[in-house]
Amino acid sequence: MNWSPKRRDVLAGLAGLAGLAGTAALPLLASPAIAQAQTNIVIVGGGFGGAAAARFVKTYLPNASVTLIEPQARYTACPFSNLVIAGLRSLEAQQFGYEGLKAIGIKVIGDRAEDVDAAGRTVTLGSGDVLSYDKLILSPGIDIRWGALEGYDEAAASIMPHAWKAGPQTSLLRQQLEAMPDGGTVIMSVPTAPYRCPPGPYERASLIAHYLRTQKPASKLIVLDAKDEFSKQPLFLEAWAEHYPDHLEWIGASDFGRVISVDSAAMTLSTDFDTYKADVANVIPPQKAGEIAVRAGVADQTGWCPINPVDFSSTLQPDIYVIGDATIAAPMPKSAFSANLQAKLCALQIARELKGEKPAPTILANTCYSYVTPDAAVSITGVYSNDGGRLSSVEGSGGLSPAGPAPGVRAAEAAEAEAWFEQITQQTFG
Amino acid sequence: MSPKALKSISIAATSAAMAFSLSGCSAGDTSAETPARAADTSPPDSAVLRGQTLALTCSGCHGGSGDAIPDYQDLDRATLEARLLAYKTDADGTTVMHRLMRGYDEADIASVATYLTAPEEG
Repeated sequence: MNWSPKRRDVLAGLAGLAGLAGTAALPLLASPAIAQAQTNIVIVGGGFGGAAAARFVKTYLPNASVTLIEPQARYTACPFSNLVIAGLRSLEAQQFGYEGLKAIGIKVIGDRAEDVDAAGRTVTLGSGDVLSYDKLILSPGIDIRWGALEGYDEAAASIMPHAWKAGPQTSLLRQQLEAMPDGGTVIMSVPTAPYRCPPGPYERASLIAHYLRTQKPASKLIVLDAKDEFSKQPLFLEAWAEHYPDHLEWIGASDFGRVISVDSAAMTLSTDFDTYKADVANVIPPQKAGEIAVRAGVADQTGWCPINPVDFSSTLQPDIYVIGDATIAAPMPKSAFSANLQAKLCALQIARELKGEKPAPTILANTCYSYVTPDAAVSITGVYSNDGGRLSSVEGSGGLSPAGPAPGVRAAEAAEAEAWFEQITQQTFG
Repeated sequence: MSPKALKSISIAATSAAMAFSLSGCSAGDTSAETPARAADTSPPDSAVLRGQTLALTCSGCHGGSGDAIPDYQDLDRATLEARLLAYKTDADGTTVMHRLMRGYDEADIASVATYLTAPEEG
Protein backbone atom coordinates (compact mmCIF):
# COMPACT_ATOMS: atom_id res chain seq x y z
CA MET A 1 0.00 0.00 0.00
CA ASN A 2 1.40 3.35 -0.96
CA TRP A 3 1.26 6.74 0.59
CA SER A 4 -0.49 9.39 -1.42
CA PRO A 5 0.52 12.99 -0.67
CA LYS A 6 -2.90 14.58 -0.57
CA ARG A 7 -2.89 18.32 -0.64
CA ARG A 8 -5.00 18.52 2.52
CA ASP A 9 -2.35 16.54 4.35
CA VAL A 10 0.25 19.06 3.33
CA LEU A 11 -1.98 21.93 4.38
CA ALA A 12 -2.88 20.18 7.62
CA GLY A 13 0.65 20.61 8.82
CA LEU A 14 3.96 19.48 7.49
CA ALA A 15 5.22 18.27 10.82
CA GLY A 16 2.32 15.90 11.29
CA LEU A 17 2.49 14.42 7.84
CA ALA A 18 4.91 11.64 8.51
CA GLY A 19 2.79 10.36 11.34
CA LEU A 20 -0.44 10.54 9.38
CA ALA A 21 1.15 8.80 6.49
CA GLY A 22 2.66 6.16 8.72
CA THR A 23 -0.70 5.31 10.24
CA ALA A 24 -2.49 5.48 6.93
CA ALA A 25 -0.07 3.04 5.43
CA LEU A 26 -1.03 0.27 7.82
CA PRO A 27 -3.09 -2.34 6.02
CA LEU A 28 -5.48 -2.64 8.96
CA LEU A 29 -6.88 0.85 8.36
CA ALA A 30 -10.10 -0.65 6.99
CA SER A 31 -11.13 -1.64 10.51
CA PRO A 32 -12.30 1.46 12.39
CA ALA A 33 -11.43 -0.01 15.77
CA ILE A 34 -7.93 -0.94 14.79
CA ALA A 35 -7.37 2.31 12.91
CA GLN A 36 -7.03 3.93 16.32
CA ALA A 37 -4.05 1.74 17.16
CA GLN A 38 -0.67 3.37 17.06
CA THR A 39 2.38 1.94 15.40
CA ASN A 40 4.61 0.65 18.19
CA ILE A 41 8.31 1.11 17.78
CA VAL A 42 10.44 -0.31 20.61
CA ILE A 43 14.14 0.42 20.96
CA VAL A 44 16.46 -1.52 23.26
CA GLY A 45 19.60 0.25 24.46
CA GLY A 46 20.11 3.92 25.24
CA GLY A 47 23.55 4.65 23.82
CA PHE A 48 24.67 6.50 20.72
CA GLY A 49 22.66 4.10 18.56
CA GLY A 50 19.48 3.52 20.58
CA ALA A 51 18.93 7.04 21.88
CA ALA A 52 19.45 8.51 18.40
CA ALA A 53 17.14 5.90 16.89
CA ALA A 54 14.39 6.77 19.38
CA ARG A 55 14.81 10.45 18.69
CA PHE A 56 14.71 10.16 14.91
CA VAL A 57 11.90 7.61 14.77
CA LYS A 58 9.81 9.94 16.91
CA THR A 59 10.64 12.85 14.63
CA TYR A 60 9.88 11.00 11.41
CA LEU A 61 6.77 9.33 12.84
CA PRO A 62 5.40 11.75 15.45
CA ASN A 63 2.18 9.78 15.87
CA ALA A 64 3.93 6.49 16.53
CA SER A 65 4.39 5.17 20.04
CA VAL A 66 8.15 5.13 20.63
CA THR A 67 9.53 3.30 23.67
CA LEU A 68 13.17 3.17 24.74
CA ILE A 69 14.24 0.40 27.12
CA GLU A 70 17.42 1.16 29.04
CA PRO A 71 18.20 0.02 32.58
CA GLN A 72 20.52 2.87 33.50
CA ALA A 73 19.12 6.29 34.35
CA ARG A 74 22.15 7.97 32.83
CA TYR A 75 24.30 6.84 29.95
CA THR A 76 28.09 7.00 30.34
CA ALA A 77 29.76 7.66 27.00
CA CYS A 78 32.83 5.68 25.95
CA PRO A 79 34.28 8.31 23.58
CA PHE A 80 36.47 10.64 25.66
CA SER A 81 36.46 8.22 28.61
CA ASN A 82 40.18 7.59 28.06
CA LEU A 83 40.67 11.19 29.17
CA VAL A 84 38.92 10.26 32.43
CA ILE A 85 41.31 7.35 32.93
CA ALA A 86 44.25 9.72 32.45
CA GLY A 87 42.81 12.17 35.00
CA LEU A 88 42.07 14.84 32.41
CA ARG A 89 38.27 14.80 32.54
CA SER A 90 35.52 14.03 35.01
CA LEU A 91 33.27 11.00 34.60
CA GLU A 92 30.29 13.32 35.03
CA ALA A 93 31.22 15.04 31.76
CA GLN A 94 30.62 11.66 30.11
CA GLN A 95 27.11 11.19 31.45
CA PHE A 96 23.82 11.95 29.71
CA GLY A 97 20.24 11.52 30.85
CA TYR A 98 17.09 10.85 28.89
CA GLU A 99 15.11 13.99 29.79
CA GLY A 100 15.54 15.29 26.24
CA LEU A 101 13.98 12.14 24.80
CA LYS A 102 11.10 12.18 27.28
CA ALA A 103 10.43 15.82 26.40
CA ILE A 104 9.62 14.92 22.80
CA GLY A 105 7.19 12.19 23.80
CA ILE A 106 9.39 9.10 23.92
CA LYS A 107 8.53 6.62 26.66
CA VAL A 108 11.70 5.68 28.52
CA ILE A 109 11.48 2.49 30.59
CA GLY A 110 14.27 2.03 33.15
CA ASP A 111 14.50 -1.72 32.95
CA ARG A 112 16.39 -4.48 31.18
CA ALA A 113 15.05 -6.22 28.09
CA GLU A 114 15.29 -9.86 29.18
CA ASP A 115 13.87 -11.63 26.16
CA VAL A 116 12.46 -11.11 22.69
CA ASP A 117 9.85 -13.28 20.98
CA ALA A 118 10.48 -12.51 17.33
CA ALA A 119 7.50 -14.55 16.11
CA GLY A 120 5.09 -12.97 18.59
CA ARG A 121 6.76 -9.54 18.31
CA THR A 122 7.09 -8.99 22.03
CA VAL A 123 9.83 -7.90 24.42
CA THR A 124 9.84 -9.18 28.00
CA LEU A 125 11.29 -6.84 30.60
CA GLY A 126 13.10 -7.63 33.83
CA SER A 127 9.92 -6.69 35.69
CA GLY A 128 8.04 -9.42 33.80
CA ASP A 129 6.07 -6.86 31.78
CA VAL A 130 5.62 -7.70 28.10
CA LEU A 131 5.68 -5.04 25.39
CA SER A 132 4.34 -5.57 21.86
CA TYR A 133 6.08 -4.03 18.89
CA ASP A 134 5.55 -3.51 15.20
CA LYS A 135 9.24 -2.74 14.72
CA LEU A 136 12.03 -3.48 17.19
CA ILE A 137 15.41 -1.74 17.03
CA LEU A 138 18.18 -3.39 19.05
CA SER A 139 21.18 -1.28 19.94
CA PRO A 140 22.64 -3.48 22.69
CA GLY A 141 26.31 -2.58 22.33
CA ILE A 142 28.80 -5.17 23.44
CA ASP A 143 29.07 -7.79 26.13
CA ILE A 144 32.29 -9.36 27.34
CA ARG A 145 32.99 -12.96 26.37
CA TRP A 146 33.71 -14.02 29.93
CA GLY A 147 36.11 -16.92 30.05
CA ALA A 148 37.23 -16.56 26.42
CA LEU A 149 40.52 -15.34 27.83
CA GLU A 150 41.58 -17.92 30.41
CA GLY A 151 41.24 -16.56 33.93
CA TYR A 152 39.23 -13.49 32.95
CA ASP A 153 35.78 -13.63 34.50
CA GLU A 154 33.59 -11.06 36.21
CA ALA A 155 35.47 -11.42 39.49
CA ALA A 156 38.80 -10.88 37.72
CA ALA A 157 37.39 -7.72 36.11
CA SER A 158 37.01 -6.16 39.55
CA ILE A 159 40.78 -6.54 40.01
CA MET A 160 41.96 -6.17 36.41
CA PRO A 161 39.39 -3.76 34.95
CA HIS A 162 38.50 -3.82 31.27
CA ALA A 163 36.99 -0.33 31.33
CA TRP A 164 35.55 -1.14 27.90
CA LYS A 165 32.06 -0.16 29.02
CA ALA A 166 32.32 3.31 30.47
CA GLY A 167 31.16 3.79 34.06
CA PRO A 168 32.35 2.15 37.29
CA GLN A 169 35.04 0.24 35.38
CA THR A 170 36.43 3.53 34.08
CA SER A 171 36.61 4.94 37.61
CA LEU A 172 38.20 1.75 38.92
CA LEU A 173 41.02 1.87 36.40
CA ARG A 174 41.56 5.56 37.13
CA GLN A 175 41.73 4.88 40.88
CA GLN A 176 44.21 2.06 40.40
CA LEU A 177 46.50 4.28 38.33
CA GLU A 178 46.31 7.00 40.96
CA ALA A 179 47.05 4.57 43.78
CA MET A 180 50.01 2.97 42.01
CA PRO A 181 53.38 4.06 43.44
CA ASP A 182 55.85 5.62 41.05
CA GLY A 183 58.06 2.97 39.49
CA GLY A 184 55.12 0.66 38.82
CA THR A 185 54.28 -1.32 35.72
CA VAL A 186 50.94 -0.92 33.96
CA ILE A 187 50.02 -3.68 31.53
CA MET A 188 47.28 -3.48 28.91
CA SER A 189 46.07 -6.51 26.98
CA VAL A 190 44.44 -5.92 23.57
CA PRO A 191 42.38 -8.55 21.69
CA THR A 192 42.07 -9.38 18.00
CA ALA A 193 39.36 -7.68 15.94
CA PRO A 194 36.46 -7.26 15.96
CA TYR A 195 35.96 -5.26 19.10
CA ARG A 196 34.37 -1.94 20.07
CA CYS A 197 36.36 1.14 18.98
CA PRO A 198 39.34 -0.22 16.98
CA PRO A 199 41.74 2.65 17.84
CA GLY A 200 40.50 2.92 21.45
CA PRO A 201 43.22 0.81 23.10
CA TYR A 202 45.94 2.90 21.48
CA GLU A 203 44.38 6.21 22.44
CA ARG A 204 44.15 4.86 25.98
CA ALA A 205 47.77 3.73 25.88
CA SER A 206 48.80 7.20 24.74
CA LEU A 207 46.93 8.97 27.51
CA ILE A 208 48.03 6.55 30.25
CA ALA A 209 51.63 7.05 29.04
CA HIS A 210 51.08 10.80 29.25
CA TYR A 211 49.90 10.40 32.85
CA LEU A 212 52.90 8.27 33.76
CA ARG A 213 55.39 10.59 32.07
CA THR A 214 54.03 13.68 33.80
CA GLN A 215 52.99 12.24 37.20
CA LYS A 216 54.90 9.00 37.76
CA PRO A 217 57.96 9.23 35.54
CA ALA A 218 59.69 6.10 36.86
CA SER A 219 56.68 4.02 35.76
CA LYS A 220 55.98 2.30 32.46
CA LEU A 221 53.10 0.99 30.34
CA ILE A 222 53.49 -2.26 28.39
CA VAL A 223 50.85 -2.99 25.74
CA LEU A 224 50.51 -6.68 24.95
CA ASP A 225 48.67 -7.00 21.64
CA ALA A 226 47.12 -10.01 19.93
CA LYS A 227 47.63 -8.23 16.59
CA ASP A 228 50.54 -6.93 14.55
CA GLU A 229 48.51 -4.23 12.85
CA PHE A 230 46.03 -1.80 14.30
CA SER A 231 43.96 1.27 13.51
CA LYS A 232 45.92 4.51 12.93
CA GLN A 233 49.10 2.54 13.61
CA PRO A 234 51.66 4.80 11.86
CA LEU A 235 50.23 7.86 13.60
CA PHE A 236 50.27 6.26 17.03
CA LEU A 237 53.78 4.89 16.56
CA GLU A 238 54.96 8.33 15.47
CA ALA A 239 53.40 9.97 18.54
CA TRP A 240 54.73 7.32 20.92
CA ALA A 241 58.27 7.72 19.59
CA GLU A 242 58.03 11.47 20.01
CA HIS A 243 56.25 11.70 23.35
CA TYR A 244 56.58 8.45 25.27
CA PRO A 245 59.84 6.69 24.31
CA ASP A 246 60.57 5.82 27.95
CA HIS A 247 57.01 5.21 29.11
CA LEU A 248 55.24 3.05 26.53
CA GLU A 249 56.31 -0.26 25.05
CA TRP A 250 54.05 -1.97 22.50
CA ILE A 251 54.55 -5.69 21.86
CA GLY A 252 52.70 -7.12 18.85
CA ALA A 253 51.64 -10.68 18.11
CA SER A 254 54.82 -11.51 16.18
CA ASP A 255 56.85 -10.65 19.26
CA PHE A 256 54.61 -12.86 21.38
CA GLY A 257 52.39 -10.05 22.63
CA ARG A 258 49.20 -12.11 22.56
CA VAL A 259 47.95 -12.73 26.09
CA ILE A 260 46.64 -16.27 26.52
CA SER A 261 45.75 -16.24 30.21
CA VAL A 262 45.55 -13.96 33.22
CA ASP A 263 45.76 -14.61 36.94
CA SER A 264 44.04 -11.85 38.86
CA ALA A 265 45.22 -13.17 42.26
CA ALA A 266 48.85 -13.09 41.19
CA MET A 267 48.35 -9.98 39.01
CA THR A 268 50.03 -11.71 36.09
CA LEU A 269 49.33 -11.91 32.36
CA SER A 270 50.85 -14.73 30.33
CA THR A 271 51.77 -14.96 26.68
CA ASP A 272 53.17 -18.03 24.90
CA PHE A 273 56.66 -17.23 26.18
CA ASP A 274 56.49 -14.85 29.12
CA THR A 275 54.58 -14.03 32.24
CA TYR A 276 54.28 -10.34 33.04
CA LYS A 277 53.68 -9.06 36.56
CA ALA A 278 51.51 -5.94 36.69
CA ASP A 279 50.89 -3.30 39.31
CA VAL A 280 47.86 -2.21 37.31
CA ALA A 281 46.36 -4.46 34.63
CA ASN A 282 43.87 -3.27 32.04
CA VAL A 283 42.53 -6.32 30.24
CA ILE A 284 40.54 -5.46 27.12
CA PRO A 285 38.87 -8.84 26.57
CA PRO A 286 37.23 -10.52 23.57
CA GLN A 287 33.70 -9.24 22.99
CA LYS A 288 30.36 -10.08 21.37
CA ALA A 289 27.03 -8.39 20.71
CA GLY A 290 25.01 -7.50 23.80
CA GLU A 291 23.25 -10.53 25.29
CA ILE A 292 19.73 -9.56 24.18
CA ALA A 293 20.85 -10.05 20.57
CA VAL A 294 21.33 -13.75 21.27
CA ARG A 295 17.96 -14.01 23.02
CA ALA A 296 16.30 -12.33 20.04
CA GLY A 297 17.97 -14.71 17.61
CA VAL A 298 19.68 -11.95 15.64
CA ALA A 299 23.29 -12.93 16.46
CA ASP A 300 25.03 -15.56 14.35
CA GLN A 301 27.77 -18.04 15.28
CA THR A 302 30.33 -15.21 15.40
CA GLY A 303 28.45 -13.62 18.29
CA TRP A 304 27.68 -10.52 16.19
CA CYS A 305 24.58 -9.56 14.19
CA PRO A 306 24.31 -9.79 10.40
CA ILE A 307 22.26 -6.95 8.93
CA ASN A 308 21.11 -5.53 5.63
CA PRO A 309 23.16 -2.31 5.51
CA VAL A 310 20.46 -0.41 3.61
CA ASP A 311 17.99 -0.34 6.52
CA PHE A 312 19.85 -2.30 9.24
CA SER A 313 17.17 -4.97 9.35
CA SER A 314 18.34 -8.27 10.79
CA THR A 315 18.95 -10.91 8.14
CA LEU A 316 17.86 -13.52 10.69
CA GLN A 317 14.54 -12.23 12.09
CA PRO A 318 11.66 -10.18 10.66
CA ASP A 319 10.77 -6.73 11.99
CA ILE A 320 13.96 -6.52 14.08
CA TYR A 321 16.72 -4.06 13.25
CA VAL A 322 20.20 -4.00 14.79
CA ILE A 323 22.47 -0.96 14.90
CA GLY A 324 25.77 0.01 16.47
CA ASP A 325 28.61 -2.07 17.88
CA ALA A 326 26.54 -5.28 17.85
CA THR A 327 26.34 -5.39 14.06
CA ILE A 328 28.54 -7.00 11.44
CA ALA A 329 29.13 -3.86 9.39
CA ALA A 330 32.84 -4.01 8.51
CA PRO A 331 34.55 -2.09 7.04
CA MET A 332 32.39 0.39 8.96
CA PRO A 333 33.95 0.33 12.45
CA LYS A 334 32.25 -0.16 15.78
CA SER A 335 32.20 3.51 16.76
CA ALA A 336 29.81 6.06 18.25
CA PHE A 337 29.70 7.91 14.94
CA SER A 338 28.76 4.70 13.12
CA ALA A 339 26.07 3.83 15.66
CA ASN A 340 24.55 7.32 15.49
CA LEU A 341 24.48 7.35 11.67
CA GLN A 342 23.13 3.81 11.46
CA ALA A 343 20.39 4.84 13.90
CA LYS A 344 19.35 7.81 11.77
CA LEU A 345 19.31 5.83 8.55
CA CYS A 346 17.45 2.93 10.19
CA ALA A 347 14.81 5.36 11.50
CA LEU A 348 14.44 6.95 8.07
CA GLN A 349 14.03 3.61 6.32
CA ILE A 350 11.49 2.35 8.87
CA ALA A 351 9.46 5.53 8.38
CA ARG A 352 9.61 5.07 4.61
CA GLU A 353 8.58 1.44 4.85
CA LEU A 354 5.59 2.31 7.02
CA LYS A 355 4.60 4.87 4.39
CA GLY A 356 4.84 2.24 1.67
CA GLU A 357 7.96 3.77 0.18
CA LYS A 358 11.06 2.01 -1.05
CA PRO A 359 14.22 2.30 1.04
CA ALA A 360 16.27 5.37 0.19
CA PRO A 361 19.64 4.60 -1.41
CA THR A 362 22.37 5.52 1.06
CA ILE A 363 26.07 6.12 1.44
CA LEU A 364 27.55 5.72 4.91
CA ALA A 365 30.59 7.27 6.51
CA ASN A 366 32.58 7.35 9.71
CA THR A 367 34.96 9.71 11.45
CA CYS A 368 36.88 8.83 14.61
CA TYR A 369 39.30 11.05 16.47
CA SER A 370 41.89 9.72 18.93
CA TYR A 371 43.98 11.76 21.30
CA VAL A 372 47.72 11.06 21.24
CA THR A 373 48.44 13.71 23.89
CA PRO A 374 45.92 15.87 25.80
CA ASP A 375 46.33 18.58 23.13
CA ALA A 376 46.86 16.55 19.98
CA ALA A 377 44.59 14.17 18.09
CA VAL A 378 44.62 12.07 14.94
CA SER A 379 41.68 10.88 12.89
CA ILE A 380 40.49 8.15 10.57
CA THR A 381 37.63 8.54 8.12
CA GLY A 382 35.80 6.23 5.77
CA VAL A 383 33.02 6.43 3.20
CA TYR A 384 31.06 3.25 2.52
CA SER A 385 28.74 2.13 -0.25
CA ASN A 386 26.24 -0.64 0.38
CA ASP A 387 25.57 -1.91 -3.11
CA GLY A 388 24.42 -5.50 -3.22
CA GLY A 389 23.77 -5.63 0.51
CA ARG A 390 27.43 -5.37 1.49
CA LEU A 391 29.29 -2.41 2.90
CA SER A 392 32.53 -1.55 1.13
CA SER A 393 34.90 1.40 1.29
CA VAL A 394 34.56 3.85 -1.57
CA GLU A 395 37.82 3.76 -3.48
CA GLY A 396 40.04 6.81 -3.11
CA SER A 397 38.17 8.10 -0.06
CA GLY A 398 38.84 8.08 3.65
CA GLY A 399 42.08 7.37 5.41
CA LEU A 400 44.26 8.82 8.13
CA SER A 401 45.50 12.22 9.23
CA PRO A 402 48.85 13.04 7.62
CA ALA A 403 52.06 11.70 9.15
CA GLY A 404 54.66 14.29 10.14
CA PRO A 405 52.14 17.11 9.82
CA ALA A 406 52.59 20.86 9.68
CA PRO A 407 52.48 22.61 13.05
CA GLY A 408 48.97 22.95 14.37
CA VAL A 409 47.38 20.02 12.52
CA ARG A 410 47.23 17.72 15.56
CA ALA A 411 45.97 20.54 17.79
CA ALA A 412 43.29 21.42 15.22
CA GLU A 413 42.07 17.83 15.20
CA ALA A 414 41.99 17.83 19.01
CA ALA A 415 39.69 20.87 18.83
CA GLU A 416 37.57 19.11 16.20
CA ALA A 417 37.31 16.07 18.45
CA GLU A 418 35.90 18.21 21.23
CA ALA A 419 33.40 19.90 18.90
CA TRP A 420 32.38 16.51 17.52
CA PHE A 421 31.70 15.12 21.02
CA GLU A 422 29.55 18.12 21.84
CA GLN A 423 27.53 17.85 18.63
CA ILE A 424 26.96 14.10 18.62
CA THR A 425 25.93 13.96 22.28
CA GLN A 426 23.61 16.93 21.76
CA GLN A 427 22.05 15.32 18.70
CA THR A 428 21.71 11.93 20.38
CA PHE A 429 20.52 12.85 23.86
CA GLY A 430 19.15 16.37 23.31
CA MET B 1 14.78 20.72 19.60
CA SER B 2 16.60 23.62 17.99
CA PRO B 3 15.86 24.67 14.41
CA LYS B 4 19.33 23.51 13.48
CA ALA B 5 18.69 20.08 14.91
CA LEU B 6 15.42 19.92 13.07
CA LYS B 7 17.20 20.73 9.85
CA SER B 8 18.70 17.31 9.78
CA ILE B 9 15.44 15.55 10.42
CA SER B 10 12.98 17.46 8.29
CA ILE B 11 12.52 14.73 5.70
CA ALA B 12 8.78 14.70 5.74
CA ALA B 13 8.51 18.46 5.58
CA THR B 14 10.92 18.79 2.70
CA SER B 15 9.57 15.99 0.57
CA ALA B 16 6.01 17.09 1.27
CA ALA B 17 6.83 20.65 0.23
CA MET B 18 8.39 19.25 -2.91
CA ALA B 19 5.34 17.17 -3.69
CA PHE B 20 3.11 20.17 -3.07
CA SER B 21 5.03 22.44 -5.41
CA LEU B 22 5.04 19.77 -8.08
CA SER B 23 1.31 19.30 -7.92
CA GLY B 24 0.94 23.07 -7.93
CA CYS B 25 2.89 23.25 -11.18
CA SER B 26 0.71 20.70 -12.86
CA ALA B 27 -2.77 22.09 -12.28
CA GLY B 28 -5.37 19.87 -13.85
CA ASP B 29 -3.05 16.88 -13.90
CA THR B 30 -3.96 14.59 -11.04
CA SER B 31 -1.29 12.02 -11.80
CA ALA B 32 1.04 13.67 -9.33
CA GLU B 33 -1.25 12.58 -6.52
CA THR B 34 -1.55 8.93 -7.40
CA PRO B 35 0.07 6.42 -5.10
CA ALA B 36 2.42 5.34 -7.87
CA ARG B 37 3.70 8.89 -8.19
CA ALA B 38 4.34 9.15 -4.44
CA ALA B 39 6.30 5.90 -4.33
CA ASP B 40 8.26 6.80 -7.41
CA THR B 41 11.75 8.20 -7.12
CA SER B 42 11.36 10.70 -9.95
CA PRO B 43 14.33 13.06 -10.39
CA PRO B 44 13.26 16.06 -8.27
CA ASP B 45 12.19 13.87 -5.36
CA SER B 46 15.17 11.59 -5.50
CA ALA B 47 17.56 14.55 -5.47
CA VAL B 48 15.89 15.88 -2.32
CA LEU B 49 15.94 12.43 -0.75
CA ARG B 50 19.59 12.03 -1.70
CA GLY B 51 20.51 15.33 -0.10
CA GLN B 52 18.52 14.47 2.96
CA THR B 53 20.06 11.05 3.54
CA LEU B 54 23.57 12.41 2.96
CA ALA B 55 22.92 15.25 5.41
CA LEU B 56 22.38 12.68 8.17
CA THR B 57 26.11 12.00 7.96
CA CYS B 58 27.00 15.71 8.11
CA SER B 59 24.99 16.23 11.28
CA GLY B 60 27.13 13.68 13.12
CA CYS B 61 29.72 16.46 13.46
CA HIS B 62 28.23 19.73 12.18
CA GLY B 63 25.56 21.84 13.78
CA GLY B 64 27.00 22.46 17.20
CA SER B 65 28.51 25.62 18.53
CA GLY B 66 32.19 26.42 18.35
CA ASP B 67 34.68 27.27 15.66
CA ALA B 68 36.55 23.99 15.30
CA ILE B 69 33.82 22.41 13.18
CA PRO B 70 32.00 25.09 11.19
CA ASP B 71 28.27 25.17 10.75
CA TYR B 72 26.81 25.41 7.25
CA GLN B 73 23.62 27.12 8.23
CA ASP B 74 24.53 30.60 7.10
CA LEU B 75 26.11 29.62 3.78
CA ASP B 76 24.32 29.89 0.45
CA ARG B 77 24.04 26.87 -1.81
CA ALA B 78 26.67 27.92 -4.34
CA THR B 79 29.26 28.69 -1.66
CA LEU B 80 28.72 25.41 0.17
CA GLU B 81 28.80 23.39 -3.04
CA ALA B 82 32.01 25.11 -4.17
CA ARG B 83 33.67 24.44 -0.80
CA LEU B 84 32.71 20.78 -0.81
CA LEU B 85 33.92 20.35 -4.40
CA ALA B 86 37.19 22.05 -3.51
CA TYR B 87 37.73 19.48 -0.75
CA LYS B 88 37.03 16.69 -3.23
CA THR B 89 39.37 17.94 -5.95
CA ASP B 90 42.30 19.22 -3.83
CA ALA B 91 44.67 16.27 -4.23
CA ASP B 92 47.02 17.54 -1.51
CA GLY B 93 44.32 18.10 1.11
CA THR B 94 44.57 16.04 4.27
CA THR B 95 41.75 17.24 6.53
CA VAL B 96 38.82 15.06 7.56
CA MET B 97 36.65 16.88 5.00
CA HIS B 98 39.12 16.28 2.15
CA ARG B 99 39.19 12.58 2.95
CA LEU B 100 35.42 12.34 3.21
CA MET B 101 34.48 14.35 0.13
CA ARG B 102 36.58 12.07 -2.10
CA GLY B 103 33.93 9.41 -1.43
CA TYR B 104 31.08 11.39 -3.01
CA ASP B 105 30.38 12.30 -6.62
CA GLU B 106 29.46 15.75 -7.93
CA ALA B 107 25.74 14.97 -7.96
CA ASP B 108 25.88 13.90 -4.30
CA ILE B 109 27.66 17.11 -3.39
CA ALA B 110 25.13 19.22 -5.30
CA SER B 111 22.24 17.40 -3.61
CA VAL B 112 23.55 17.79 -0.11
CA ALA B 113 24.51 21.43 -0.64
CA THR B 114 21.02 22.18 -1.92
CA TYR B 115 19.41 20.32 0.96
CA LEU B 116 21.50 21.89 3.68
CA THR B 117 20.98 25.44 2.44
CA ALA B 118 17.27 25.15 1.65
CA PRO B 119 15.11 27.50 3.73
CA GLU B 120 13.97 26.04 7.05
CA GLU B 121 10.50 24.51 7.02
CA GLY B 122 7.94 25.20 9.68
